[in-house]
Amino acid sequence: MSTTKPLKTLGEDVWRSKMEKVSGELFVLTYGSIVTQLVRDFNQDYAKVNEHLEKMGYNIGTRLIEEFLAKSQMGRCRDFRETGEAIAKVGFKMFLNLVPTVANLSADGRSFSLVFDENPLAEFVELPDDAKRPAGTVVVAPSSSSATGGAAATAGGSAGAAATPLWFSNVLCGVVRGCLEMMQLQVEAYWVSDVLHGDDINEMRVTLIKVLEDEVPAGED
Amino acid sequence: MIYSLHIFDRHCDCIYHGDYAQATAVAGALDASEQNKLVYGVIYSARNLVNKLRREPASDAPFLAFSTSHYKLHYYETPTSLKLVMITGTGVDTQAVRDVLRAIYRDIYVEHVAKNPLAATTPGPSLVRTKKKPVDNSVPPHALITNVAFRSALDQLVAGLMAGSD
Repeated sequence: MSTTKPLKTLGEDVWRSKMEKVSGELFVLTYGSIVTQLVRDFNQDYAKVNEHLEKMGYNIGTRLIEEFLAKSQMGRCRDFRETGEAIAKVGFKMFLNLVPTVANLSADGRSFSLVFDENPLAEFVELPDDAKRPAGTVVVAPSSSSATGGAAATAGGSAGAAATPLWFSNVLCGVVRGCLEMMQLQVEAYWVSDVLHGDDINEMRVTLIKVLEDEVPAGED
Repeated sequence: MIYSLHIFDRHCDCIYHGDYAQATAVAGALDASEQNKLVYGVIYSARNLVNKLRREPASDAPFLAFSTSHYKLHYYETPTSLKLVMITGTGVDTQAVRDVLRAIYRDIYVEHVAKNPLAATTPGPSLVRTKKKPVDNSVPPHALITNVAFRSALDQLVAGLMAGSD
C-alpha cells in the first residue's frame, strides 16, 4: 500500500482533492479566542496555558492520525527522517496547507526541526511583553528544564525575564506528539523559536524518546 | 457471501463485531466473546508467523488472508494497529476485500468514530510496560463502538456488496 509518489505531490493531491476546506480566518480567530480564554482562566500562568494547549493538541493528534492515514494511504516510514518529511510535506499540507522544512537533523537521526516560514495561527496576534521570551535566552527541552516551574534557561538573564513565555501555537506540538504516539513512537515536541517573540522563524524541535512495543493479548507474554 | 466482520483495536480488544449471512447453527457454537478471542488469536499468530518467515525486509503488514474449505478470512491492519477482519465465503478475491476493508476504515470508521468527539477511543499505547490484567468478559471494552451511524453505514455497505455479488 506504500505509495511511490513523492511526498510533496502526494500532499498536494490529497489536500486538493480529499480535504474539506473551511474559512481560514474563522479557524484562526477561533483558535486565538481559545488561547485568550485559557490565559484568562489560568490567570496569566503561561506555563499552565502551554501545558493545556499541548494536551489539547495531543487529544486532537490521536484522532487526526486516523484521518491522515485513511486519506493519504501512507504506510510506515522507514526511519525517523522520513517520518519528519511525511509530517511536513503531507500532514501539515493536508490539514493546514503549510509545508514546513525539515532541518537540523541530528547525527543519530533521532531528532529534527520543523521550520515554518509563516504561521497562519498567529496572523492577527501580538503578544503582551510579559508573554514574550526575553531576547537572548536559549530554549531547552521542557523535559530537561528544572522541575520547579520549568523556566527557560537564560543565557545572561535580562531584567524583564518572564517566568515562562507563552508558546502561542503549542497546540501543534501536541498534535505532532499525539499522532506519533499512535504510531508507536514516543516523541517530545517543543518550540525553539517563534516569530511572536521576535525571532525570524518558527522552529519546532521533535525528538524521538523511544519506540513503543505493540501490545500482546493477555496470556501471551 | 460475507459472513462477519470484526474490528480489533491496538489493545487487542474487539471493539466491533457484525454477523451478516445467517450461518446454520453449528453444534457447539461459541458465544460472541469466545469467538472474538479466537479470531484475534488466529490473526495474531498468523501475523507473527508471516513476519518471522518473511525473507525481505518490511513492507507493511504482509499477512493478507487465509482460506479454508468453508470460508476465507481477510485481514487489513492500519499503521495505528487497528485491525479489520472480514470472513467471507471461499473464492472471494482478497484484493477486492482489502479494498473494501480500506474503504470501511476510510469512509465509515474515520468519519463516525475518529472524528466523533464523543466516541470513546482507545487510549494510546501504554508508555510503561505493565502486566496485562486477565480479561474480564463481562465488561465490554472501553472503546466498544456503539455508534448507530457507524453500524447503519456498515450494514448498508455490506448489504450493497452482498446484493451485488449474488
